[in-house]
Amino acid sequence: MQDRTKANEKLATLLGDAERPHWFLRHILPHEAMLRRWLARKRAPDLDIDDIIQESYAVLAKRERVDDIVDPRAYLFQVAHSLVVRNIRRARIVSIQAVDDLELCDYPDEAPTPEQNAIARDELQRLAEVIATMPGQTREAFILRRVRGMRQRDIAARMGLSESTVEKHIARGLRWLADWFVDGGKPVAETSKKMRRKQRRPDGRTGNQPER
Amino acid sequence: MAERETSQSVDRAAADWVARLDRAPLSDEDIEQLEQWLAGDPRRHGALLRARAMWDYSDMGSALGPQYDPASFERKTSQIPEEKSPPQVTGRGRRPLAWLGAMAASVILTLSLTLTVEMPKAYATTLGQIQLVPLDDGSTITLNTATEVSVQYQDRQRRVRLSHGEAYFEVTADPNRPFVVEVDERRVHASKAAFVVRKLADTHTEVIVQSGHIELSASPDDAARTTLAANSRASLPPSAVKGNILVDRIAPDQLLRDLAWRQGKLAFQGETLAMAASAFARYSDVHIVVADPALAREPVTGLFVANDPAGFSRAVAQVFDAKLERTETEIVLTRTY
Repeated sequence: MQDRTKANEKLATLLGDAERPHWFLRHILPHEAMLRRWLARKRAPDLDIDDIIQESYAVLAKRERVDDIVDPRAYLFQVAHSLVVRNIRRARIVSIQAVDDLELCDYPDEAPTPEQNAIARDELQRLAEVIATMPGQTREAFILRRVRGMRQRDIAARMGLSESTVEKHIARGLRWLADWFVDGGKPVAETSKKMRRKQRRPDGRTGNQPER
Repeated sequence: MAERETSQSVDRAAADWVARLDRAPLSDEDIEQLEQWLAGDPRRHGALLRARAMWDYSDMGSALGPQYDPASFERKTSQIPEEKSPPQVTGRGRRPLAWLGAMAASVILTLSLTLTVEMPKAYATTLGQIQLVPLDDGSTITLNTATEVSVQYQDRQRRVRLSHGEAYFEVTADPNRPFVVEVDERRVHASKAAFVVRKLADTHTEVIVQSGHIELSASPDDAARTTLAANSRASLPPSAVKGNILVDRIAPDQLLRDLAWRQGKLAFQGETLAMAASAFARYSDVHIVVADPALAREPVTGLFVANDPAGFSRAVAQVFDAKLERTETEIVLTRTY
């Protein structure tokens, strides 16, 4: 029992405060599409937008607290901006001019309306739609978990699958949702998603390279 | 350094971890692995936070209700392509959807052949339930807790009757068939609009418009209509009293908080604890009783799960240093000092 408590404490340190994903969902994710577009406009060679976004989020994940961030959107753009500048300095191949341009943190400053503040206008409707586009068993497992609220173990029994297979379906469903979100909340078929990702990489690496 | 891991692969691993965390408590070995994984690349912390946030988002899936039928949403997305999706989508990726569309079309054909006389269809939710009802024309109705509506689509009119409760309507335009909501003797006429109609036991019936506009008539045969624009609210006293529709403005952020129930949540920003407690009463048999008048006046701010009065009470007890006692039907909050 003692060990369990210890393990839980360790896990809590790794994951940070429990409220943060929710804060992130409300205050950061709604601006991801805008951040992506803004990064795409930067005249920086070899800039991997996905990397910059992940690194920016890492800064938010590791921050001691987030409730002291007055304007999460401005903060997000500042962090991303400083990472872009750092990358360019590190690459040491661009002219001073380019760095000067980038010194201007010219992030779009129009205030989002409360409607835009929500992750999307009709969150529930969109969730219903994206779940509907998931492939076969993944969809079934995801619905049982997220709509019916069953535990993974019970889903495994019900679908006649192993627990680890159900876990894989849940992970896949979550990725489906996340990919759909990257595309601005418009469900796309898997194939076109991969193609888009290929195009997004300026350095010739693709999303199809061997993983782990 | 070896070939740098792609950000896609980082995202994939992050999703795997969220699924693992959801499956069961992590073993010591798992925790060790998670620690090592996180330490291996700074991007992984960010990807994990994002994946956990998306997981949080999917939590509102419970608000889709047990009747959620993905097939009806497949049809909607494939049958009625909005202008957003380019029509010239190339073959390979889209084929499954096109196929579903063809199948759905045949289903619709069968339906229209067999259902020449449209019967009203009833939808109802029980206490604490929320249900999203997609309609054939692409409109949707979201039913809040303890709500009953009946839907009847006719050639000249799309009719919905709200017997009691609260419903959120998102109406698609159809110039030939106005969308009409009947509540008491009143009529709400809409074309393309999003609005709420609320008919609760102890207060006046209310109509709140989020986008577009609607028209209100006091009785079925009344030609005089009151127009209600986005971000406004009409309060409708019993219709025996004439000419008394009260209209006022409602701030967009207040409106969004009012609509948090669609995600199965209740949002408060400075409401008193007493008001919050009565808001929860609509969603559960278990009622929150605030025994101390000073405590009842404390302001509450936050987003809470609507059908979990116990969770809310625990949070309140912590913040206000209150004592919490539970019986089968009540949660009593009192000051400890």
